This record gives sequence, structure tokens and C-alpha cells, in this order.
Amino acid sequence: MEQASGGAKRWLITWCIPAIAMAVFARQVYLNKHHQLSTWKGGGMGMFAAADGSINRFAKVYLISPKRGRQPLVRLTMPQKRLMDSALWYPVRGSFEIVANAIFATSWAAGDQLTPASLVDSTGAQTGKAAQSYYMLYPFGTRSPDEKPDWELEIEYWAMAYDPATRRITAKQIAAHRFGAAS
Amino acid sequence: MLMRAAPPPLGSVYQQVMDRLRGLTLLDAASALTLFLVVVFGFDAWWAKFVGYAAFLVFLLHPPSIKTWPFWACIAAASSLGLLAAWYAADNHKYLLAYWLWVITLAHAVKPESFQDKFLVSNARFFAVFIFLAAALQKFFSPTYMSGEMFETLLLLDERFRAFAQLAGIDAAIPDAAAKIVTLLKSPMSIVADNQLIFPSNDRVNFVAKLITWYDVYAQLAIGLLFLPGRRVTDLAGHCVLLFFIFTTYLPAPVFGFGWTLAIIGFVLAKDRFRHLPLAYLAAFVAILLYQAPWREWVLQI
Repeated sequence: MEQASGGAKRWLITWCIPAIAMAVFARQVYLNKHHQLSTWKGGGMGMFAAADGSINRFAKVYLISPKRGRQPLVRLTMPQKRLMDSALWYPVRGSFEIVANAIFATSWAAGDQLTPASLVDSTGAQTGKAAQSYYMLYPFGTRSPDEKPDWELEIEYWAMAYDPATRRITAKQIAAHRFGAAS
Repeated sequence: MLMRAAPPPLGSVYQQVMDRLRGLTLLDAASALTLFLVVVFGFDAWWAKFVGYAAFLVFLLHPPSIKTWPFWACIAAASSLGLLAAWYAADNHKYLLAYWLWVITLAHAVKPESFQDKFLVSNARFFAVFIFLAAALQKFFSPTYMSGEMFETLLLLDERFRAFAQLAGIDAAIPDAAAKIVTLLKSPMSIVADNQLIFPSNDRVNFVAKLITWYDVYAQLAIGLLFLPGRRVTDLAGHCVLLFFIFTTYLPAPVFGFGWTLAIIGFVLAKDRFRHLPLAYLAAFVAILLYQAPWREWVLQI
């Protein structure tokens, strides 16, 4: 009996870490299928297994204010960029909210002039100016905690797909998350 | 008159290394290699680094500490916290490292001592099978992998693969053009018709990408399947493919910590079962260190 319980104990000890690894694997597969957790991350051992890495995912960030309308944030600070890179591995609202809070904690300054967006054809050549024009926004120090921003934030999550047969690369907006300063 | 001692013949050096290796217990050898892994290729979180460096210092001042489970429990706990703090941004091989650290911890804790090696080998075999079969499974069920899309975009857009692409005969102008195209797609200042652009790839890129795609998935599948039965002949074949995989993969793919972990797992499975294979794993460790030479810069400067 003692020998049997010793055997069972050894069996349990031997396979406890593999059991955890299998549970983490199952969780990763679930999160990958249902919440777009990248195959490259999260313990599913799927490194180099899918085009859902940092190259194929990106975000567009817009400041939305009553005065200036919807303005893209083209230049994040380095810590914000790191947070964004991290959020893109698991692009759910909670991940982007961490980035949004960091952006809300920063003051943003706009240039004086509007810059028109460019129209681009399928070869990547610029064909003209678009109707939309934007102010270039720059990070301008840390916002005081008392100073509530009068703008909201929208983070669009995009994914790129490449078709080797047609040699065309397509970007598709997957989700858009809107955040208020108090969120 | 001064007499210079003749250098020992190569065969004698080989024999000395073999004897030295045989003199080490499996757990001692695995522990030393794992401590090196933690210190050199460990977690990025500052506390995990601190604990890794501190443990290394403790080991230097008091070498027997490496044979105690609390020593390893501290490292494993700090590393696991580092993993949990960034669980969705942590690479898969960091998960593997965390599991392996707990394996080493438990291996030092289990009794009797005769069970330690069995415990270590069982876990090494599980992870050799699990990592490679899980990776192969993920790849087979991934349309973006099987179509070659993943490696084709990686070859043209990932800076880490630029030198390898050049060595594979891909014109250096193509990755530059691809990067420009992607920048246009990502920029809110560009209005791209249908959000679709022609990607400046060509047949050569497509061919190289497909070659890597098939090599990678079948090599991983073979390793996982060969280590599954636990027979001597399949193990021998598994070691050969695993060594080939380590030697060839971690030159272009700079995931050295992963390569080192795989080499430890292979070493543990080989040490007391095969006569010469452990030495091949030692060569793999040296190769992984050598692969960190700035060869990419050298290639790109040509």
C-alpha cells in the first residue's frame, strides 16, 4: 500500500509541471481563437506559426475633440509605443485601455498648419491630396492630474494580410475602441 | 635548457572532455547549464534579473548552493512573476524557461536521490515532445503559415531576417520597398484605395519562404514524434534532427534563449543514454554563443 501511494506520489510530482503546461497551452489556444491573442505569445508554443505578430498588426490612434475634430496621433512617446506594441499581442479593450491611460496622462500640442492626407494608388505611388487634413500632434510633457483632457481617444486595431498568390497586401480594421478621460 | 611540453593530442582532449562530462551527475550538469541560461538569456523584469544575478553570485561564493531546491525555487518564483507580469507579451520560450526552472527546482527537492534523474528525464522528454508537437499543430492549423505568407512577410519586413534574406539571394531593394508599402498602409496620413497595395515580393522570395516553411514544420513534427516512443533508435534519430534544428535555426532566428533551452533538454535526454551525443550538444551551446556575433551587420555591409 505504502509502495503504491509512493508510486502515485511520484507520478503526481513527475507530471504536475507538464499538466500546468498543457493547461496554459489550452488557454492560449482558446484566447487565440476567441480573443486574438497572438500565436507567438502566451505559452502555446506557436512561435513562427502564424502571421499575427508585430509585423502584421498595428493601431491607429485618434484624438477626438469638439474644437478640432478627429486628429490622428502619429507620434507616440517611447513608453506609449512600448505599451502599444504590447497591447497588439492581445488586442482586447483592456490592453488598449492601458495605452489610452498613458496617452491621457500626456499633454499634446498641435502644429499651426493643417497637413493634407495623401491619396495613394495600389502601387504605393502618391496620386494627389485627399480632402482630409490633419494637425500634427506632438507629446508636450506630462499632464497634471487636476487637468482633465477635453478630448476623447479612439484606438483602431488593424491587421494586415498578404496573399502570396496575388502578391497583394491588405489592411483591415478589426475593432475600434473609444475611451473617455475618466475611463 | 627549457623543455616545452608537447600539446596533448586531439584524441586525448576529446577523451578528457568525455571523462569530465561523465564525472558530472545529470542533475549537476543540467543545473549549471540552466543557471547560465537564467543569467544570460533570462527574463527582462528587473526583479527576475536581480534574483538571477544574485543567485549566480551566491553560486560563485558557495558552489554547493546550486544543488539545493530553495536556491532554484527563488529563481523559479522570480521568473514566474516576471512571466505573469507580462503574460500576453511574453514569448513562448519564456514560458518554457519558467516550466524548466520549476522542473530543476523539483528535481532537487524530490526524494530519494535515485528518483531525481528519472524525474528530470521524464520532464525533459515531455517538453521535447510537447514543444515541437504543439508548434507543428499550431502551424498545420494556421492558414497564414501553410500558405507561406508568414515567412514571406517576415523575410521582407522583419529587420532580424534582412541579412539572411540577402544571403538567400533576395535583392536588398525588395525589403526596402516592402517596408515603404507597409508604412503607407499603417499611416493615417495616407488614404490607400481599398486599403490594398501591391507587395513588392517576387518568385525568389516566395521560393525561399516556402522552403523555410516546409523545413520548419516538418523538422518540428519529426522531433516531436521521434522523442515520443522513448526507444533508443527513435531517440537517436530525434537527437540528430534536434541538433540539426538547433544548428540551423538559431543562426537566422535570434532567439538564443530558446535554442539554449532546447539544447539543455536534448542534453538531459542524451547524457546518460548515448556516448558521444552529449558532446554534440556542448558544441550546440558553443554555436549558439557564436551566433551572437554581429554577422548580420557584416552581411549587410557587403
